[in-house]
Amino acid sequence: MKPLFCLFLLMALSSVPLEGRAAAPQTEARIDEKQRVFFEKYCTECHNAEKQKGQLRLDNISLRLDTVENAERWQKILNQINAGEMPPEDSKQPEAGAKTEFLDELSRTLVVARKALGDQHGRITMRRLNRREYQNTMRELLGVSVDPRELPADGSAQAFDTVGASLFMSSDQLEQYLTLGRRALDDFFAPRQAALTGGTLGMRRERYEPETAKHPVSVQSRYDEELKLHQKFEKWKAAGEGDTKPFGVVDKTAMEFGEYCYQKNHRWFSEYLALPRVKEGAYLWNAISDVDEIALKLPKDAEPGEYTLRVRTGKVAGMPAERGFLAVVQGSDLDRDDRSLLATREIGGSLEAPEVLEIPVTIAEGKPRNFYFMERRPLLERRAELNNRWRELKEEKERNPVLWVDWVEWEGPRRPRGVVPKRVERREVETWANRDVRGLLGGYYLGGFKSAKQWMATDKKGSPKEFGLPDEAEVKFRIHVFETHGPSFAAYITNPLTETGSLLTIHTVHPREFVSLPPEPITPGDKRRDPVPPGDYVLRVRVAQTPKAPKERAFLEMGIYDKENGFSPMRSFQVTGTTAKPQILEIPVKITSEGPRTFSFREKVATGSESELYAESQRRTGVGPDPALWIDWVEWEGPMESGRVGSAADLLARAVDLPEGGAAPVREWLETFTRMAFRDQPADAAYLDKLVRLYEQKRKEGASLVEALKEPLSVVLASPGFLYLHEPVAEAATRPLSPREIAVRLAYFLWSAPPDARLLDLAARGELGRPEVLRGEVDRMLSDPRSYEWVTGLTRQWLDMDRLDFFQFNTKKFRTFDESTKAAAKEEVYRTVELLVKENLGVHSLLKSDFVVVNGLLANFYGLEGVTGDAFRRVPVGADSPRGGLLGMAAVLAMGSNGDQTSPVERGAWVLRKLLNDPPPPAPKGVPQLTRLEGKLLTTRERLMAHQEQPQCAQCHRKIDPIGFGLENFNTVGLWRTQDSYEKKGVGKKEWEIDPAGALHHGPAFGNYFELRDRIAEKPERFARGFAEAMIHYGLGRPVGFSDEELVDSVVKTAAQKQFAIREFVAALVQSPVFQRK
Amino acid sequence: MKYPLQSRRHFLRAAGTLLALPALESLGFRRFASAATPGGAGGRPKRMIFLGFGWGVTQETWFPDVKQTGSEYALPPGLAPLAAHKADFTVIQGLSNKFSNEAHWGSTFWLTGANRYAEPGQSFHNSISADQVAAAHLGGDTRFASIQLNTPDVNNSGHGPGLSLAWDTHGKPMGGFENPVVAFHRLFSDENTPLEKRQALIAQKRSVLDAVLEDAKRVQRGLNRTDTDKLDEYFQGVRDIETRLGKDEKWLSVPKAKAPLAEPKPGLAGKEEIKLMYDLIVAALQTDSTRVVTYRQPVGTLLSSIGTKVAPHDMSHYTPGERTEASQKRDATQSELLAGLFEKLKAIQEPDGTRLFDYTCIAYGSNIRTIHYLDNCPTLIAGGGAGVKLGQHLVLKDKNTPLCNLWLTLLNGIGAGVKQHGDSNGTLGELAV
Repeated sequence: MKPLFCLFLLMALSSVPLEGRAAAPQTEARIDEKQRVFFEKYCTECHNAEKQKGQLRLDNISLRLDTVENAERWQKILNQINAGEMPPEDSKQPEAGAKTEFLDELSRTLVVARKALGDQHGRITMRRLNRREYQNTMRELLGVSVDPRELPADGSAQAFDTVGASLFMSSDQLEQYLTLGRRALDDFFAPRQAALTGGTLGMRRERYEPETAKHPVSVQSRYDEELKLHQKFEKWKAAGEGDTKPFGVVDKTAMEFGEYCYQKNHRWFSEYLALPRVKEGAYLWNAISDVDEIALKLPKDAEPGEYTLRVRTGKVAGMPAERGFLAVVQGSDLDRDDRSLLATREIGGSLEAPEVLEIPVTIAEGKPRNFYFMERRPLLERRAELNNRWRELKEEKERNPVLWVDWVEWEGPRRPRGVVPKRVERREVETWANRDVRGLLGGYYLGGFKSAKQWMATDKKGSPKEFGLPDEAEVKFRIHVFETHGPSFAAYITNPLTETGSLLTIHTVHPREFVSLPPEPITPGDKRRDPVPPGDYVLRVRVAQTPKAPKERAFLEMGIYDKENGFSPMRSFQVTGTTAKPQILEIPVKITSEGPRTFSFREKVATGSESELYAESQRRTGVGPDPALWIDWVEWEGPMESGRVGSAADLLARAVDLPEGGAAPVREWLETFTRMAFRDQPADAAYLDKLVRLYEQKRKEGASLVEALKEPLSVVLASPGFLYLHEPVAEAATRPLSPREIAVRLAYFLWSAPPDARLLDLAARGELGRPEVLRGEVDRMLSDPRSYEWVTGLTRQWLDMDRLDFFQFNTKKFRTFDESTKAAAKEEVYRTVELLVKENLGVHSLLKSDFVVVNGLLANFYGLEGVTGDAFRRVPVGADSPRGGLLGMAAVLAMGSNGDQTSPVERGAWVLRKLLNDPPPPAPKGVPQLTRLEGKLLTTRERLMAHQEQPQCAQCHRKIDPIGFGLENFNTVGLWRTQDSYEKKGVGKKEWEIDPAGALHHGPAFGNYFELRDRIAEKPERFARGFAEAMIHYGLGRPVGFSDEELVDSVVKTAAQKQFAIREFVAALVQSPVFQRK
Repeated sequence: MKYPLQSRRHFLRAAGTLLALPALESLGFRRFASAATPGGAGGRPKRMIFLGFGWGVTQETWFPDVKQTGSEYALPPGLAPLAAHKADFTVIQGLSNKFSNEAHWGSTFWLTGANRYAEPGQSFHNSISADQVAAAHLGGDTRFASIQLNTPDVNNSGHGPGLSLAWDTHGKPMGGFENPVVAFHRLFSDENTPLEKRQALIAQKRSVLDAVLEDAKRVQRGLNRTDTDKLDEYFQGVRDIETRLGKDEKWLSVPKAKAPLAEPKPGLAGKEEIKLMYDLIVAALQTDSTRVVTYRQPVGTLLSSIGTKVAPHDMSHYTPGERTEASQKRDATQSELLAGLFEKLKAIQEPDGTRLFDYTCIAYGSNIRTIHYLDNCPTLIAGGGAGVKLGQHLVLKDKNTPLCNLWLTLLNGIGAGVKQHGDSNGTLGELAV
């Protein structure tokens, strides 16, 4: 009994300090005194006062790692022992257990030491804008997008990109700021100047109809060509395989090659050409080269800017859902490896009703401008391999084409907001309506009637042709229609409401009102006009019910009308206005360069019932139904510009109005701009003087006003006041931030962008100091789309998401984890955090949740039913689903692999670092490789267990590996599996059932993944703490040190009271004195 | 040291032309060269080339057998393409940067030996690179103190942070040309703008700097020590641009050297890019446009250009099979390209038989040995520039010898006369002739 009891005691003792450490981290880097025994036993014999081997004395070394020098000395000792070099082979060796414990203690102490020695003690170093912030700031200020990749990358693996101490400046970078600022100003002014000088806005569009160009025609011609060769071959063969020239073929090789191609392709070409609608569009089919993708190439002279790609496409019915995705790839012709995925879209349209998809794209100098549309697939596969593989597929559903493309086109460059002047055009409808109705009545009806009567009056002598009517039948008809419909027309004309508007009759007379956007004529018969650019527009209709109209008829329907197809309804509206108090309906519409530009309005009736309704009323009352709706006027307005224009855009656009001569207005104008660029901080007078001089110098050299202004403006955009977040504070002192400084800090924290006018205004009025106002602003800012930058910027760095791009995934093995899925998997992590922010959910739902946030593509990958479309949305999952929480996300699991095989070590270490907030020490360098396992067939667990034989490995791997094993039911790309195998060429193959059971080090056991997830989810405080530390690191721009414990504690505690709701973390930090002081 | 410039120009004027700049063998070059610091091969000014290749090598097949040292050693397959030059280079084993701890940073500290964590609280720190020490010594009399060449394929190539191999006096990254065509024009094409216009342009750039400095002074007011230090980077950036402008001004009226090669084709990548950059290096040194060149080479595009489908990082973890094959093919191709560079440097000859190779020092290597190992950095030294012993396979007794000891040895070999570089603790006696 006694030994067992001791064992128990030991476990109890050893688990206490561990838990203790996690709750309140050790703050002093000191090696436990009891390790000195280890030292004296194995080290000091050679490293003592007399012997000092390798100039190293260890008998008097301090166990406190309180200086950089001492910590470095210990790091070297650790390295030597890890590398197996110390103690030397020929001397006494420690037994494995003691060595493990010693190494464990030492490496953990070094982690503490690094944190302690790196502690900034609350000091926040002034920082420049990082690349993301620079890009956002330029966009917010000028409304222009710059490519920040031209600036050197920020930060590094350990520090977030908001940490000032790790954001540097150099002469090269400074010159780049000058260049980029200059380019942004060019981009701002160029289109505006073009608009001013009456230039066309330079927007171009080119559509490519694949069936008329290279595509199926090429299949047809390739088919014809090869068939001809085949026929020649047959004849040549029949003639005894002699000279090929009489058959029009150079030589035997060419003859045989032709036949080879025929044999290879004929079947596939025939199949393709037999597909429906192949004359109107093209299929994307991986079985045939050049049909496997459609290229859309922008010409070299297409100027850089924002463009739209469009594709009209539909999918073949009855094909598997996972094949309904179109990938759009950007790249160059020359180098297929140079391609990158631009977008993946789920196709909702069919062959009968294709849909038009739009993909925005940026065209930049020196960047590829070719685009390829294909069925989503791994991009790097060689074309021949792809075609052959496809032809070998047995299942028709796997092999046959799914996507059909009517056309592809590009259009652009889109003009920046504020360049195209917005227009409004209102039309009083009665003018045209009355002319039309009266014209019809007076001309066709009354005119025809009169002629008919006149002919009748001649006693039908002579021909009706003399009266403009072809025959007697027509005469009778004209009399009939006039007598039938004439009263309805007359009723319309005499209705007093038509004096100020138009009435919507159900049938004949005036059944529809309309609004037309240029180039369509304003009313039929008028001139066509210069087209308005595509974009978002608003239609407005001032409409009312007529006094006697029954309620059920008070519905207005908008749609497209043409003679052939009649009226195709789009939307309907209930009309509540009265003729005394009409209402104005506002209808947003998207205008494309191709789509309809005339929109019609009618009373909502069942299509096809119109004439019946009319006839019925006419029989009853002699006239058509009483009109139920009256329209006063219609108008369109646009283009409406969604999103924000740069905050300085108005000011900059006014540059052209600056008076010539006299520096004062220019100086004042520059002063205003500088203040905006410096986030509401004034510049010095001397600086403004110098800016004015730069402008004057340029003018003197003959530059135009705008050209000369660009000089000082680009200087402002490269000045410290713009580039740095400036919070001056005296040496060894701290002070509360000014309200303006808080606004700036807050905006860069939550938006990675400058404060908006509202925030600056609140600061200027001193309101921001009130906690409830500040809290309100935090909520407003987190609800603003700009906060997605917080979600991605923080999450990417906190969870180390960059690792996903470290390895290339073996898409031969994992076909569905192509670039499209990888991008969606990454986005899932961000969209999940975004949902937490939107709904203010607890951060611990990232450990386990009953929902996932996925789009159609990812749902398909995970095997979740009933999710279609490209938008990410919340989808519930059952308790038996491995999904729900970070541990079940493909991105997280795939990061824990090398692209080919799972890496339980990476996964385990990631869980310790990110979910349990118990980071293992960094991987030691120079640990000898395990070579003795080479050539053996082992399970993953067996292979890794070898790690734990050697003390220098066991110290960490005993904590890391069990967690990794618990996740082995997920394969390399995060799909569920129950079996695994290992194959070695020349040795053999081994298969095994996965055993995920294990236990956390000094912690509870788990039998499978679900239990492991539960064990981890049971520790939300640890996770919350890790999240809080990452957020503080990100928000304050400095790593979290031991002196921040109090802050971390209070943030976690505050949030814990609200079930760890994510916004509470943010609010707690923002409300803390640390955030509001420098 | 100012005379060469003067005399060269005078010579050209006297010869009645400003167009044709002399090739190496012409009178003009010799006159120029002989006027420079005496010492070394024929008293010609020394040249230095640093070539960094990111993701290490295949250790099993790149390093010679440690048991065969001195001049009698067998070339392993990874170095086999260099066989013709075996007497002209030395392979050294046992060098490393002791502070390096980033397994994917093959170039960041390669020439600096800096401790990334030397500044408490900062996650990154670097110091001057060996090439810039050389440039301070050799760069005074040439149009370009140094030329940095780079590749667009940085992210794939295991180089780590930085803009090129070069880091300035303050440990800040220096930009490099990633486009050979741009580098070509910078080196050899004269601008069409008239002199006065170019002078005005320089004056205008100075006014721009003057203006940003004015605002920097405002921002500087009332800052504490740490923030003042941070803003100092900005001031230093401005000063560095001013220095560059000063040099531009000095050379304003001197036409650029005539290009000894045709304008490169755009769009080359991988193997072709390296070959072309090597040609540019030879041309730059041959025309004495600069005496110090670094080149941070591509690895990712190199792999695809030799038909390998393995991703570069995957290749660096060469497991048996496809990845190892790719790694070895990369080694051989890099050696083949290097042999090409040696040949070109040897082909440029003075009438007395001295070759450009004889007064150029070439250092070729990476901070990453193999996989994630940062010790025994692959190192190959060639050329007569630094006067070190060639044709050797050296296995240093202390296998933790600072790589900076080698840089110090080479820097002193070209006459820079520095006492310390990075974490050096001495020179490599083994390299003494």
